[in-house]
Amino acid sequence: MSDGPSVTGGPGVGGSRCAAIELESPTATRRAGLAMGRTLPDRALVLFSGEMGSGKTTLIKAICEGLGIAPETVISPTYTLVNIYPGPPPVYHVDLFRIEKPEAMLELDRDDWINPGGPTLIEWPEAALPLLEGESVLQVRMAHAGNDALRRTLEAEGGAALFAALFQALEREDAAQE
Amino acid sequence: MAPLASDPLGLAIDTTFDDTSVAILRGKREVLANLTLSQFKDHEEFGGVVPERASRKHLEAIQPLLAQALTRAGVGFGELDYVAVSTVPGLLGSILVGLTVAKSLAYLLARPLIGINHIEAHPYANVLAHGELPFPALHLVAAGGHTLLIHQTGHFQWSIVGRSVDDAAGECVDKVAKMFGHAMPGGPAVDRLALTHAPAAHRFPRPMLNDPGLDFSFSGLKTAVLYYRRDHGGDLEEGPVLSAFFDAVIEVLIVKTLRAARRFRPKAVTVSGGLAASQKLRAAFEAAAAEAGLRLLYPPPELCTDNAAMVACLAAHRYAAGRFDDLTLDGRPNLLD
Repeated sequence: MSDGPSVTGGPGVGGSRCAAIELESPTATRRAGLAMGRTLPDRALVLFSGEMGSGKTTLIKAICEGLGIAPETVISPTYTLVNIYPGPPPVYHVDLFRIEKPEAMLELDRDDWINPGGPTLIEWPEAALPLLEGESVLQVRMAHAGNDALRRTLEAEGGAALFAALFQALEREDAAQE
Repeated sequence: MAPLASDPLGLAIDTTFDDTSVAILRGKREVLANLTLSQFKDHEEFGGVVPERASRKHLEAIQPLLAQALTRAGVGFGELDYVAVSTVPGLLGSILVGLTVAKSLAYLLARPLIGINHIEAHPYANVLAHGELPFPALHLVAAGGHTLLIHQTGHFQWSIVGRSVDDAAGECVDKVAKMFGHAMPGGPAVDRLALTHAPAAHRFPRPMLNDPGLDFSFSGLKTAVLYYRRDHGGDLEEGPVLSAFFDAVIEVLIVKTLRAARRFRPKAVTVSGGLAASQKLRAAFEAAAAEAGLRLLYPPPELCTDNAAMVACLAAHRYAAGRFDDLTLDGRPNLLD
């Protein structure tokens, strides 16, 4: 993948897999997020990157909705650092935008930001990368597609076996759009 | 346990958020000490601790801060009538630092323990500044992580009637300020520029203004500024643009608050939280409230941002009502569970 955050981690059985799809509108972003939420493995770690306005909020709301969380309760964790949406399963929504140095992460308790009982979705994950080495993560990168204000590209990269259902769902979304 | 003191001396601790805060209150309004770690960031006795949003930083700061507060107030632990602590919302590890200290003190001193919701406490900064609130009251709480409209019918009787469905207003302002190169938190810089620059002619969107509900949305406004800045590049003058942007934020907050006021007919409307320190926002709210015939209250700037005095003030009301917690009191990360 291009310039998203990366961890040196084992993709696990089956190696790593990458998918890229074009999303023509926020509605398409939402559909992709719903599909991802419905196929996310238990306790998955998902890292999101992409500049402001690239659709992360829309995508994450939809992923949470796919996990059974009411989307209007999914709000920005920039100031709270971590929002916990009660499940089942509970979903941790983390935003490390305000954490400037990786050392600061050591001052947090790991259970505060890595969900022991469900998926963890991390925005602006750069500061956490050293602490995630060896973890099997899904990296999701959102970007503007050309000059179209509505179009986005979504790239996902992660363990082929662990995230097999999710990659299949993304393939179906891609096909449905064409 | 001893009978209730008529003019109790209370200790309040808040570790729910970035800052470690301790306050000592006499009665319901007399603040004897109100200390936050960020006031002391260069101070030697805190080992040069820089405020970080983390449990271990709270742990290092809490004891010296407690000692300072007692010294400032000129009281000893033995004189305290109750111990209060914020238990919701925030990072659990951070909350537990304050909670553990509060429980230990309550147990050792054999005094009541009172657990406080940090968000419920924000409007009580107005009680400290202006006296008892008339009920029903409508509160706009614009704090870092939350933008909320709260309808309160009496002490301890409140409900959230509107909230941001994505970014908090203050966060939106800080992030837009950052786009223009201002350090976080950029709210004060935007406020200054907005006060000294006429808004640019460009009209930024007012998200959800036409939605009949009381919820807010600020994520799209942030993106609109991003695009505007990208499309206009180098020849953009930040003062007028940020002024126009801030007008959009303020208008949305005011329109929704007034809409809620028409629905709930409060005897007072309060504004609190960090964004309530904005002079431009205050002036705009004052004009709107006067036109609508509403009584508007906001705290002095130092009580807008997170502080333990507001926590102590709410706790004093709990003490007077005899509503205490026991040592099984627990922290909760989420405001809405």
